[in-house]
Amino acid sequence: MGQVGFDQGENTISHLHQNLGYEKSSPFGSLLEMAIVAQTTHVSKVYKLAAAEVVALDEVNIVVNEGDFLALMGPSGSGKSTLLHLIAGIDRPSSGTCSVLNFNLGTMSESELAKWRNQYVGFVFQSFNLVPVLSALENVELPLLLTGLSSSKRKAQAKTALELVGLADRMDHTPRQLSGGQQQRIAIARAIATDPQLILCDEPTGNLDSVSADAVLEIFHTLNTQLGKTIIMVTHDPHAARAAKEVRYLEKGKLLPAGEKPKDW
Amino acid sequence: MTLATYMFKNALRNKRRTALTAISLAISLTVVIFLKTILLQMTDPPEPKRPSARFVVRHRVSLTMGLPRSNEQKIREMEGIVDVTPMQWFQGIYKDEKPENWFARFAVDPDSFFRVYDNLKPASEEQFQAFRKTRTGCLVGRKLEERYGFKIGDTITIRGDIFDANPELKVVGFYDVTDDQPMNDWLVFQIKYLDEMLGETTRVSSFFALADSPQRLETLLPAIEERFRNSDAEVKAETEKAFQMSFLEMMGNVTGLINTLVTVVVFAVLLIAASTMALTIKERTREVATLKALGFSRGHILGLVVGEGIIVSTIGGLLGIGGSYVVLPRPGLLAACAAGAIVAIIIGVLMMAISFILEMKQDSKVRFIASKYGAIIAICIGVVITGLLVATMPTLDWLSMSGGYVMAMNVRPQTGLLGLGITVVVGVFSSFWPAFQASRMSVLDGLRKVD
Ligand SMILES: Nc1ncnc2c1ncn2[C@@H]1O[C@H](COP(=O)(O)OP(=O)(O)OP(=O)(O)O)[C@@H](O)[C@H]1O
Ligand SMILES: [Mg+2]
Repeated sequence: MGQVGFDQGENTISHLHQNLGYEKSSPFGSLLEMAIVAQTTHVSKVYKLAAAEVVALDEVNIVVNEGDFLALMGPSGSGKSTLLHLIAGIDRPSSGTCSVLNFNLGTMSESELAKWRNQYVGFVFQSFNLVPVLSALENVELPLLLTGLSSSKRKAQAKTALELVGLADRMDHTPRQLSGGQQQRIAIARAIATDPQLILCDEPTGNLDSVSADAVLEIFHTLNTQLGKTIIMVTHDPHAARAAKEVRYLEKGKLLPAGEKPKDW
Repeated sequence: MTLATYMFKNALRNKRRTALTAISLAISLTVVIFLKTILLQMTDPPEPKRPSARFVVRHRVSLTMGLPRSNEQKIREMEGIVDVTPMQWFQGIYKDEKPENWFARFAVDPDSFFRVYDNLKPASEEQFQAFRKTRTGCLVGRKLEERYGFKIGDTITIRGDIFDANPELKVVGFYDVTDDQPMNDWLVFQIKYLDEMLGETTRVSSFFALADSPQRLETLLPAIEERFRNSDAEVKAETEKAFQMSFLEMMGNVTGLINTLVTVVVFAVLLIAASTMALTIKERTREVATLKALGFSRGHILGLVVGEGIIVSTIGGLLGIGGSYVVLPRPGLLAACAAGAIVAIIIGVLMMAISFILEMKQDSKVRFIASKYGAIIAICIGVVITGLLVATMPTLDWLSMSGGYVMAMNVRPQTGLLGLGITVVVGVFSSFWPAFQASRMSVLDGLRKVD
């Protein structure tokens, strides 16, 4: 698993902070107490279909603290993705409130949410969703285009992110020229390019073989332990879940109490 | 990288599709600019550098009705007239009916002709005298000398079409044009010879006359019309420019027709561009959703897609406008390009049909070639045909091809601007709807879509 170049760790990490030359106010007033990064209160999501109602989430209350690495597990259709989307502000609950990084998402407009996501949240998908006509470096630079950083700062920042995932030497390659595992690492670099506090990932290892999956998980581990990023990862894979500090289970839209699993797991 | 770079890369993502959209816009623009240029040449021909005191007197109803020759003397007696000359449009056929053998032939009176056309000069006094004295003599413009290599003593036989006469003319000399008027490809011969062949003093299509000043025309023209009112041939007296424009009236409401055509062409290319763009953006649904998840707003998406549309249309627009500036003034090149384009389109459509039909029959090799290389093969054949035609065709010019009515097809600035306007309109309007839809699409719907 040693192929990822983390030896330069400390340097790279400080770079990621330094390069980001634009003002990004900390959402936290003081860091004296353990800060809450994401909190949902009585959050439900109900889909009203012609035939019936589908309750995707049922009164979910969850608190994710700064520095957490939480794995969300549960059977298919239990509402994992739905919960992640609500926290990312790309979906809205039917009832209840989501507060993420001290922003009350329910009160924000779509464009405010977009800007907020760009600054504070990184999203990693199961299928890597890289832009095929852009090089690895350009893909990582994409979210930085919205920041107002100078072109040279953007490039430096994107390179730092690529170094963090150990793919600086592949920055000129297009997605087609990269393996699935490498593409997912580029996607992670893209997610962390704007140095967000919170990283959300939906089955990030779902399309990967076990070696590539391990590389990805090791990157998340580093981001969590060394850069202090808060990570929420939806996964089916118990092996992946083991990389997390905590695992919570969803079943039929309900969040099970900490430590409890669905019966047949 | 910048957002503009990203837009450019998006525009060039599907190169074949972008090329097809750009080329269809380029061809449409060439058609539009061609039509508009012709229209302008006819409705607003370029002004001669200095105001002309020359004018035309013709039959009130139609050129073909002709005026009695006795009118010459009556016009000459009017106040402010310097000179009058009868001119009969002979037309006829030289060699064959091919457009490249088309040039203007007039039956004239040698003395008064060169006094009224004071911008035309016989090459020498001897040649002028020879023209006056030779019953079947003719003078030709320098351009005809160049084109056919006529020499003094050559015989030119013109087959009559309007007239039942086949003049056999002897080249006795040449004339030069001393100003910028496009009159250097005329053939003039003695009207006396025409009378002789026809056995009567023929009526003439027009009298050209010279007033003592351009300002005089304002009063002189109505006075001449008045002079012949209630005679058996009422006349119309008009400036040379108005005379040229009167041919337009003969063609009916050309302006309306051309503007309708232009609208139809623009609308068609807009539809092509819009449906292509819609398809392109639909294929990119997931990517748009990803961008939104990364923090791109509705405005960003709208801008990206409309920008891409403008890039594609600008490629086609510059190609079409630039091409028009180069090709339109040269009818030979235009014909060669048009022929090449038509052949390329036919072969392209055939290739498409072949690949469709064979797809159903599952024949592999031919289908593979037709679908993969069809466009390239079609374009190559088109280019080769254009090249061959350019190499083998004689140089043509608009003046002789249009029978003297279209002097030149130089694209004017306002026509170029119209082309730019159409380019922008097509770019914005073809992409706005797909852009709007993409910007409104929810991230979740987009992400759920399977590629
Ligand atoms: N747009 C929708 N319309 C109707 N029902 C929906 C919609 N989106 C999700 N659902 C339903 O909500 C429930 C939760 O879906 P969700 O995608 O969150 O599940 P999941 O836990 O991520 O499952 P998986 O592990 O298969 O990805 C499912 O029953 C699903 O059918
Ligand atoms: Mg899911």
